[in-house]
Amino acid sequence: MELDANTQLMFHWIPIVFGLVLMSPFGEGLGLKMASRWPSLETIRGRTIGGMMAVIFGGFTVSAHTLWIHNKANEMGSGNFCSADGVWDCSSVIGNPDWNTMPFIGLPWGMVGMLAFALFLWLIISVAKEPTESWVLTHLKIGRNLGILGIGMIFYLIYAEYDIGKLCQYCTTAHVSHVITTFGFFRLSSMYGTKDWGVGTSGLSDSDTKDRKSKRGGYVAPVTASEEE
Amino acid sequence: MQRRNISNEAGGRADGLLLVSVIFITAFTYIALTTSPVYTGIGVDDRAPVLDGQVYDGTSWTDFSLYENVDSMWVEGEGGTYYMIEFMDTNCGACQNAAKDFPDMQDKWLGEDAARSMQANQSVEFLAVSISLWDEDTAGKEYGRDQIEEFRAEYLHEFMYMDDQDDSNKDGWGDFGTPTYFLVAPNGLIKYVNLDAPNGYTVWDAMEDIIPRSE
Repeated sequence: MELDANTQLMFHWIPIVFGLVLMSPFGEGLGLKMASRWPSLETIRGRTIGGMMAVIFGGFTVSAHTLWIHNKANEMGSGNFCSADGVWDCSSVIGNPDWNTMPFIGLPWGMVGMLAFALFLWLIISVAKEPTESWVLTHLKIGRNLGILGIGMIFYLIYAEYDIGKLCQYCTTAHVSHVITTFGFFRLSSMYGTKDWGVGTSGLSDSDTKDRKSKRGGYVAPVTASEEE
Repeated sequence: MQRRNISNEAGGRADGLLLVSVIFITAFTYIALTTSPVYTGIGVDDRAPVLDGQVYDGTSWTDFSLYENVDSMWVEGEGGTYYMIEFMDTNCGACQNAAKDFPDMQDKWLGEDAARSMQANQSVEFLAVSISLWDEDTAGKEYGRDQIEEFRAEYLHEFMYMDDQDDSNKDGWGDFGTPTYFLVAPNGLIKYVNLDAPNGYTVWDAMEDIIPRSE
């Protein structure tokens, strides 16, 4: 059984909606249910990061799908791999040679999306793995600024859709994912340094964290035989 | 004993980079293996670049877009329109010589009563794209829509002339001399370009070979 393009699109929405719910106040209960597997979801920071990972992953997969459609459109023209239903007509947008590549650089927009979401994913995974490191704020700033830049590109692409007279459901999905991600980076930036940022994953106190950091720094304080006993 | 611990901070970032790289490469490999895109260009079997502009059909100037007149889903045997596109300059001597051949060819190929047989629902259109090889200030070279209309009338041409004297389509099509001929199939793929053709093999020969006859 072959799924039509709009049904296939739903698979990209699943992680995006899941991530959005997890990032929202409604996600607290969901996060607590999954905390036994991922303890960081007990915290607001953990839920925001986890939600953003899901949203970014959805953005990445829909961008990859868009690139696939772009290549297929070049290979064999429009077809049922990209549905055309009234104003929602991705083949007219992705297959339009006037608008379907990035100006000056010439990269297909799907590829631009893949690169952007891959960068977002790397930024957020790094922060998730080591939320107390010195470079975390830099990563959040990069994510935030890249998000603002991307929103500028989204306005350009919305203008392209206006010019063509059709809307591309795949592109819109990627745009929604990008906007949520940008919002997430802003939220994390404002959270950074407050008590909501916390330590996160194991309920350690600040002193435990400092102790752990010093050990990870490579120094192990010597102990006497009597202390060991 | 105190030991050095190098690049401790890179751990999370390196892990993340590795994971993202695996995801990216997997997605990219899948796309590469399942698609075979045809790129836009001016070689045989390339997709014809965008060709937009105003055309004169003998009565008025109207907007024309090649892209809007091709059906990318077309396959051989279906109805559709082949476009013979000539890039020319109204001041070019070779174009003026070539223009003399067109009245015979338009009788042969154009219209419902074309002399050359074609399959049902298939047709041929000629499109002359008038570009500027010289500056407007060059002595003896005149440009403008009046020149295009006069040229078309002088040589008894009955097909469309596009005004591209600002060379606005040059970015996509490139910089070549005139006259240059392309045969574009109904799906927008270039089937003949004289720049790549063997010596003496004209666009008219290519049309005879490529455009199927009625059965």
